[in-house]
Amino acid sequence: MKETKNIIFTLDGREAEARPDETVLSVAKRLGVDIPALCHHQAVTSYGACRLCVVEVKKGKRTRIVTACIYIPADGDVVETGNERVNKLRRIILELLLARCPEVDLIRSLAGQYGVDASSRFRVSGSAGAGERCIICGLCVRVCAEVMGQHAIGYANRGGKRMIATPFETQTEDCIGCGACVFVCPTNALHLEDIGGKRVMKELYTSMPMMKCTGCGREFATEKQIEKVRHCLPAAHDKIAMCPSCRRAAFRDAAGQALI
Amino acid sequence: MIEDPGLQIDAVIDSAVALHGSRPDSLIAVMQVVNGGLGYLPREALYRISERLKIPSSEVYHVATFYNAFSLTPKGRHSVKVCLGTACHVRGAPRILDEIRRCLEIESGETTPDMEYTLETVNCIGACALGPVVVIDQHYYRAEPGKVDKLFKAFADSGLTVEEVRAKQEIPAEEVVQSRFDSGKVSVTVCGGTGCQAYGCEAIAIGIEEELVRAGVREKVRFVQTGCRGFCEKGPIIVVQPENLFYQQVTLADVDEIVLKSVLGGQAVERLLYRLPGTETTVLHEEDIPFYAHQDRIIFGDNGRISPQIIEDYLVHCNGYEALRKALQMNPDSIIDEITRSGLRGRGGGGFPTGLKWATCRKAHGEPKYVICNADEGDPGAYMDRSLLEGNPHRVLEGMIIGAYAIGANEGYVYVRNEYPLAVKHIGIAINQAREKGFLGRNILNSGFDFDVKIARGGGAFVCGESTALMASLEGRAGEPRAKYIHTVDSGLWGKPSNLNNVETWANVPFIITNGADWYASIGTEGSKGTKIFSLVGKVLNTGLVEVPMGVTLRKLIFDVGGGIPDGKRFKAVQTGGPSGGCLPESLLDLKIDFDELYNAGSMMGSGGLIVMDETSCMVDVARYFLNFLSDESCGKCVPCREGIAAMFNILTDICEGRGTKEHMPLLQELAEATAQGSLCALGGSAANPVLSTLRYFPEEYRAHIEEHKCPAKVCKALITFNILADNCTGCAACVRKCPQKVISGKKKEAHVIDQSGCIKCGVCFDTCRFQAIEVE
Ligand SMILES: Cc1cc2nc3c(=O)[nH]c(=O)nc-3n(C[C@H](O)[C@H](O)[C@H](O)COP(=O)(O)O)c2cc1C
Ligand code: SF4
Ligand code: SF4
Ligand code: SF4
Ligand code: FES
Ligand code: FES
Ligand code: FES
Repeated sequence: MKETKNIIFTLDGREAEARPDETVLSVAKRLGVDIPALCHHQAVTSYGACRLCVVEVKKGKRTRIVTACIYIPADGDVVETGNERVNKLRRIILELLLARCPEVDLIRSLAGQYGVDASSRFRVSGSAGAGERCIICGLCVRVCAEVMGQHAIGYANRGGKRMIATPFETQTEDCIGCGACVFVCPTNALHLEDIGGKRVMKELYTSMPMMKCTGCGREFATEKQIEKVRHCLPAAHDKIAMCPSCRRAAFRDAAGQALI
Repeated sequence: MIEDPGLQIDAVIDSAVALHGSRPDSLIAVMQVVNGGLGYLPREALYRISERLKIPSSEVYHVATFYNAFSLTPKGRHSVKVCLGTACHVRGAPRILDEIRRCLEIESGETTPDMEYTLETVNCIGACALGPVVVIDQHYYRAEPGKVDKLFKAFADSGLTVEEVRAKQEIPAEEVVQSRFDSGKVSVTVCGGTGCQAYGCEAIAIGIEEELVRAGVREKVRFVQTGCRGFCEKGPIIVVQPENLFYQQVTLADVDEIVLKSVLGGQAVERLLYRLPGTETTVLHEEDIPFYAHQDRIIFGDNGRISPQIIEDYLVHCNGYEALRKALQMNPDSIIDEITRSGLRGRGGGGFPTGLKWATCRKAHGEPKYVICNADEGDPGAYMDRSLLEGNPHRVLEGMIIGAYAIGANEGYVYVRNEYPLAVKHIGIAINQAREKGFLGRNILNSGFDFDVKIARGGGAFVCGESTALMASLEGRAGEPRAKYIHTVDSGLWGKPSNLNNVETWANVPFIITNGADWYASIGTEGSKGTKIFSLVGKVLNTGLVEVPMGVTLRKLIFDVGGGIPDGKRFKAVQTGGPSGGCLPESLLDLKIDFDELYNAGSMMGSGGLIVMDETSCMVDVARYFLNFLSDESCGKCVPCREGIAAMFNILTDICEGRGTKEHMPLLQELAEATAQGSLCALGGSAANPVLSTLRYFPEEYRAHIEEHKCPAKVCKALITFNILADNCTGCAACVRKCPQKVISGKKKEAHVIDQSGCIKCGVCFDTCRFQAIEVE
């Protein structure tokens, strides 16, 4: 049975209404309540990894900590998004992340907001420390799989050795160089550069040829991206290998021709 | 042998797919076959598996690097596995590992340059009573510090046949009194559990059977190889009926005498009887041995009566499948009601009421429904689930069938830990036999109810014992937990209602159906009913598996059943509940063991591991040990668990290595609380328990490390030194020969000295010296 009735609960002392299946984070966003969330993105499924979005839920006498990005409230829940217990927890999580990625601006500023000193008191896992930028939020993995349908990157290892990796930490055939992962990464841990006719993504061990626009000759996408579009749209027109502006111009011309 | 490696890979993958199919959920099983066939997973093989099973190579790579069972590099001809489980840890496993590392000149995880040996560590292989345990290929050994060369010698000898080792005694056929066998009650049972196998019971069983044949009585004697009888410490164990003679620590050389004197003659072989500690008084019968006398072996006792591989044994000697017959006459709701009223709580750790779980799953919407048996038994130091599955698999199966009927499930899984090959074998045989007899399959016992069970082998990951991770693993993925705001009874395996119970929980079910809820509820305490099997290991005289009613005190278990602490040492702590549990001090020895009492004391029941520690265990080191274990075993998904455990581990390492500061204790407390509250699953949620409980009960030991730079238990290497006492040293130079650093010197027959600058504190000299001339400070 699917629940179809909206859910009424309390969010930071005021009444809030959630659609069935709507998370606390989504309701909070709608109502302008700020909850920090590093591993969440509306384009992909929630994952619950960074734990920054923790909030406290009171159900009758029981209180517990849940993650706002996954938790779907029930009628009568009393949710507090920023009480002392929640903030204390976020402080430690940020301090742990800061120990892992001391150079990431986003982490530093969030930590600052929560009153964490610029230098963490902890030493943490594996590759952590100097130069590390990845917080293993998994957004890149989910975007690549769920949005692009490529499944080019994933995780390797477990525990303190866990990391983001392409298979065997080498270039993978499955990557089309679309850059969605780079775009979604909250900490700029992934990089994309177009140089010498190639698209290079060094963290993914990837370098692949660019496509030259058949109109202007500008490199506007990777060959594999174009191939993918061709594959997804079998009836794609012949202007697929053109950059967007040439394509628009070409259409305009064609339309003009038709008029005459 | 196919020469072309590409063809060979294809051939292995073909056979794996033929066996397990090419659905995505077969991934782990297929990889296990390929890893087994090729010795590792070559890159090419993983790409081909990805094509065949249509799984992206990024996911295949994640799975391949997530589970311990898989290797991406070739292995040596022989595998040397050193157990670093808790029971082995407190009995000196780290030193064994150090010695083997020096002996093979490789680090753990590496292979010798000649490709002969690969050295690995494991966290418990379920033979904890023997600790410290080393497994070379399939051979289990009890290792001794200072004597690892012996291990390799024993391994080299393992190729010898029974004939070559055994002392022979001819039995004149005419002397056998045939009338003895008329009653049909003569039997010999040889324990075939993993513990006893480590002591060579296989060869002994072969020997006994041969002797019975030779004496011409094989057909008249019931000869049984049973599963574990619990007293693994004293293995191999043999029992002769009808006199009920209990023999311990039997060797091949004793075989002929046992057959001649006891089986044929009904006489006891004095020398093999149990002796009361510190006396010469022998005990004839199992039930009179203190270890057994204080137990109440409802669930576990059957192990000693039957061969786990013969269903008829179970039917005849254990009232087998009678509970199922009865249950099939009942309506499902009244079965659930019976289980609820019995008060049975899950034995997997959390103690969740079983009846309530079943009822919720029965009511859940969605088809099909699944029942799953959790035999992942990851707690290092605990091995009751292994022994039940190995020794009495039908009991577990019967419980599952009853549960499935009550819940309305037609499919079941047994998820068995990768390190338990014998359990996999026995439950597999049991499933086939149960199918043949009509206890599984279509229309079970003409009731119209269909149910069947599949076995899935784990990949070697502690976190896969967690319900959502286990289900992810069953689906062929890496064992990453997910948030459980929606319970698995509503949405579990493939999003369907799934009821997961522990091995021992399932094994309790037939007894409750047969004897009724009231009978069951009369055993145990207010909140915890029935008996519980504990794995009593570590620094205790009688190690093994013990079953007692809930509510027995720790003191009774450790001192009456366990016989106290060996070598005149003093009890210090008992660790209960595995890595998620805690260490309880002497002042809590009178605590009644049940779910709630343990929880209130800051520990847990867990699966029932009880690891006893004496004054030679350092509590800071033990806390550090558990966090090291957990940081390896965390799935690594969420921040508080992955980084919080690492941070706590690093602080504890600082303390153990003499860099502790005043701030460290409160800092640990702060981190522990955050990890507990913020983690996604219960692994992170309980990871801090070892830290919190040692901080709570042994703060002075932390302070000694931090403030005085002393390790009172003399364990933490950075805080101790080894010295030679000139008065005791005879100058025998035994230590000189053994010292791996060659830093001990002195004139013959004069007191020697250790050059501290080169000493690596391996302690070999301490173990070697026969004159107590080496002191640790
Ligand atoms: C990290 C972790 C490891 C676990 N390992 C096991 C295990 O090895 N065996 C087991 O039965 N339960 C284990 N559990 C508990 C299971 O999640 C689950 O609660 C249990 O199997 C349910 O069965 P029960 O109700 O019969 O106890 C583990 C839980 C966690 C969090
Ligand atoms: S660039 Fe490659 S890895 Fe990144 S999202 Fe696109 S296909 Fe996936
Ligand atoms: S690379 Fe970026 S997006 Fe990917 S897991 Fe790391 S931090 Fe997240
Ligand atoms: S708590 Fe640990 S094991 Fe559980 S999901 Fe988080 S990282 Fe994984
Ligand atoms: S945003 Fe919810 S856990 Fe990361
Ligand atoms: S076998 Fe080593 S701890 Fe269990
Ligand atoms: S294995 Fe033989 S008694 Fe446990």
